[in-house]
Amino acid sequence: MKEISDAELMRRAAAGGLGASNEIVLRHQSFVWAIACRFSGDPAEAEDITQETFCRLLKAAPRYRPTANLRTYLYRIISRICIDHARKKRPLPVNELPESADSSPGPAALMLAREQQAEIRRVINKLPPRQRLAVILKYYEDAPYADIAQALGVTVKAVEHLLSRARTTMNAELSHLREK
Amino acid sequence: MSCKKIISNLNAYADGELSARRHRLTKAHLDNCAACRNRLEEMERLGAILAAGLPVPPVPPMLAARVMAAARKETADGRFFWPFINPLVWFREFSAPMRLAVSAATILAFVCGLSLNSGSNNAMINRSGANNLYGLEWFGANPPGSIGAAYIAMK
Repeated sequence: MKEISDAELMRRAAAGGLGASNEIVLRHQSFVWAIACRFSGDPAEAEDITQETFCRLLKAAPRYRPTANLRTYLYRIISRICIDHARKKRPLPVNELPESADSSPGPAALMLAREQQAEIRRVINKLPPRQRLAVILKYYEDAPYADIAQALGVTVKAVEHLLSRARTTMNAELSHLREK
Repeated sequence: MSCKKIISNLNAYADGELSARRHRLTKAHLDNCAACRNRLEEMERLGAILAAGLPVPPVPPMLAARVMAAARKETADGRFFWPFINPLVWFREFSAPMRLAVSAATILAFVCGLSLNSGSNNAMINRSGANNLYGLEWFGANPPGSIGAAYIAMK
């Protein structure tokens, strides 16, 4: 059977369709969850961000115009929520980090990987929220500059600058990892 | 192109965001400049480190259900409750053939109901017949098979 498009699902959700709303959530939850987890580093906060993102999306369904990909629209919503959360948030202790999904290597390698992940998390948490989001959208979602610019409400050139500054910081902070 | 200019373009080059012309010019410079190439390699190594960097735990079970519950709660006008009481909203969610089938079934049920109703108008059912019909005699003072019923039958 042909899959119903996101635009059609949004139209049905705007008409009050519960099934359509549910389908939108099921279809996009893993990608919203991934961004929220990577941004916050805290599963409880990531769940809040995911919930708020979909609540806002479904509320805005009657105003949604399918001129852009729904994912781009979601980037914009999730970015605003992430930045709001970052403003209110306390610094995240490293021991609150999520467990790694990869458990195949031996204990020593696993410990090294965990240390490395903790180090990366520490550095990413130090980045200002916009730079952090730009890094997450670029490196983990492979989003083009134009989408990141829309998500953050800035120009494409500004995205380039954000990523450049983030890379300079990360290069300086993670130089010891590169040498390993 | 100067190294300064190349370095300012290096992020966009590494991310595949340069125009074809600028990409070609940058690549030509990189082929001949070890310093700029080192910068690019540094950037690529950072990408490799980050790729292994931030694991994501699996999506919690029931996250979608919790999200939907929160969405319903948040919608002050209760639009999310509306489908439960308004079959038209469900109907709108159906595909075109499904809508046609539902419409046909509804019309058929309506016509059948009308014809059955008109057939039963003339049927006269007397009270005892109705009692027998629905088995109400079992709830009487002397149900069939009881001593009372046997006594009445003997009289």
